[in-house]
Amino acid sequence: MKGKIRIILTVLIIMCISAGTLFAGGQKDEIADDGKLKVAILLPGVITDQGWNTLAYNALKAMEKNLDAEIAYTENTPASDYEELFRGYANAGFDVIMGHGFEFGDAAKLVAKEFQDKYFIVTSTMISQEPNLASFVINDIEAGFVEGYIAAMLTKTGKIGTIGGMEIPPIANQQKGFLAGAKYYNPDVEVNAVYTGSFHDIAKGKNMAKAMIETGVDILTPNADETSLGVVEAAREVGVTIVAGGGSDLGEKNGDIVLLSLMQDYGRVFTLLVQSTLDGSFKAEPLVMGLAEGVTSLSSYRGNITLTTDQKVKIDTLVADLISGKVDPMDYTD
Amino acid sequence: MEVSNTILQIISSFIEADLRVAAPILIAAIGLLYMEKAGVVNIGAEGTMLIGALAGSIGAYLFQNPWMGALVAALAGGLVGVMFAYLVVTVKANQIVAGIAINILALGGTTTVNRIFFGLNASSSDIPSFTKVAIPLLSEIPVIGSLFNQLGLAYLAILMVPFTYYLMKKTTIGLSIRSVGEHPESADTAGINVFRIRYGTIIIGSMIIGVAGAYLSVGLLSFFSENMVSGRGYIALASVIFGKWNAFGVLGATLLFGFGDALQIRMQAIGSAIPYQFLLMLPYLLTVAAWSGFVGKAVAPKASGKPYFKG
Repeated sequence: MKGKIRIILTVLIIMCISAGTLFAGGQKDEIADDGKLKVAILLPGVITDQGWNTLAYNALKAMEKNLDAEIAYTENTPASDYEELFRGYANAGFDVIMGHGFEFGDAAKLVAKEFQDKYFIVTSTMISQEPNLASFVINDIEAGFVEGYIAAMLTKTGKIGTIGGMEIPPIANQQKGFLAGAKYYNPDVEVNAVYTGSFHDIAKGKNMAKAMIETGVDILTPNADETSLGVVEAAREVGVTIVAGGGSDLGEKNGDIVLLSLMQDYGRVFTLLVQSTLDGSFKAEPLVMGLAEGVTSLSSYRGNITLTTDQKVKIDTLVADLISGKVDPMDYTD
Repeated sequence: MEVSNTILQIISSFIEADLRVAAPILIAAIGLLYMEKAGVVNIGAEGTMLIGALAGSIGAYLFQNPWMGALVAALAGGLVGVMFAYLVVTVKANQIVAGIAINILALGGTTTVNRIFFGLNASSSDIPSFTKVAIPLLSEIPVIGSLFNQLGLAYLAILMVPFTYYLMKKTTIGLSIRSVGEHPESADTAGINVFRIRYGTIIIGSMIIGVAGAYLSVGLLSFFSENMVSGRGYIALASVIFGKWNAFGVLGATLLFGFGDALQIRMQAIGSAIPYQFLLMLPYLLTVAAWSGFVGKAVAPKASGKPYFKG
């Protein structure tokens, strides 16, 4: 009897380990040292979320192509493993190791000290450490400002809403900008900014969007990764319009309901930063990027509303004013 | 007049939302109830639901029919049940460990299969999903009429409550199941095959849990997404205990949870000044409050969680 239990336990353990390995996704164990540039990234979620993590995955793919780099990534990185994974990739011969999100900052700082010949980059934060740790943040207030401006311009009911995943810096800033942009267009527009508390619970996103639509909201801006897909479903059922936040082109797959997305070109930033490690121009400092750097941009217009020429001109003018600095979103935030 | 109409409308949509949120948890909890009654604790309900959700979307996609999706989900759930039953009944592995193994396996397994099958960027357009079925007459009743305009599976979930109650309390099979959960040795002496009852309840229960997953992926939504169950399996497990292992109690527990969730969503949507973190806690707080206030002592089946060693 005991022997049987032992066998079963062994089988169970093997099952767990193999399942864990499956889940680790693209992690590669053996990397041949062939002089190729090697870039790895730690992701907080899964690469299929059509949001934050898809952005990084696409950026990584862009580097593989543009810089002929060897790439690797870890999905759903648990907070307890940040340090070990940074260290693991560094030991495995990776030249640049990135953490996709402010939460990776502390672990990156620690490990960067131990591996002075490697480069560490953390996204969505403003930290740095000589000589090898840099970070960049995309101007989320600015992106939210454009989203809020367009939503306020299009609403017929005078009520617009934005649905975020959690109150973390990039999303809190986007909501701040959204409020400011809406008020900049029309001080009387009613703005509702909420959080689902989850980036993964799609059903919750759908329920939340439905409840907002019931209160009269007719333009929605989701910024919650996978949960955004639930918002899209709710909008599709009723026929309200989505102005997408969050950085990836949500309308690419949902062109029937998404008017436009504020896109963030992480591929461009990643490529620029990693290139700087190659040609020696790397600086251990935080960078802020947005419309002016061409990192934030507007997708093409799709969806269930056709914009008038006047409306398009207004949007183009706003973008130009934000780039030239004529309009500063910070002047309109509380 | 117009104001009161709006309020009625809000209440009506609220009732509808309550059942919509509660239905997947209710289905899973009913499935769990079968095996719980027979003395099996299945913490793997979360993973079983996840596998059901993926199988459901694959079935619905292949056959272009949501009911086929639910059927495939039930079969997949049944397979997981066979595996779980083998582990906990035949070789008497620890039920908690086996359940955790299923959860981990499901998380990794569904992620991999989903990417192989649907690719990296799944879109919802190709997968048919359940549509709402309005029951004639009943759905036209003001305010509570919205209760009768739900997905087909939701009615099934409600109907399963009295059915399960009747089965457990009034039939010989129900008596056998309960006796296996309370005192397997006596049941065995009385000529009841403990192993067969446990195998049966685990497999049937897991099939129902699989359908609960399909409710998410081809009902509430129309695509599969990694880890889309998001803890609903655990809530279902809690609902069984909260509902005191009684089908109607389970219905009450899941509706209360759905009530809390629908309420917090609406409070956020109308721009409540309460910080959203507190609103997110609401369903759980309500459950805890009800638990400490009204429910009283819950008595689990005596042989709960214990493998049966035949004399």
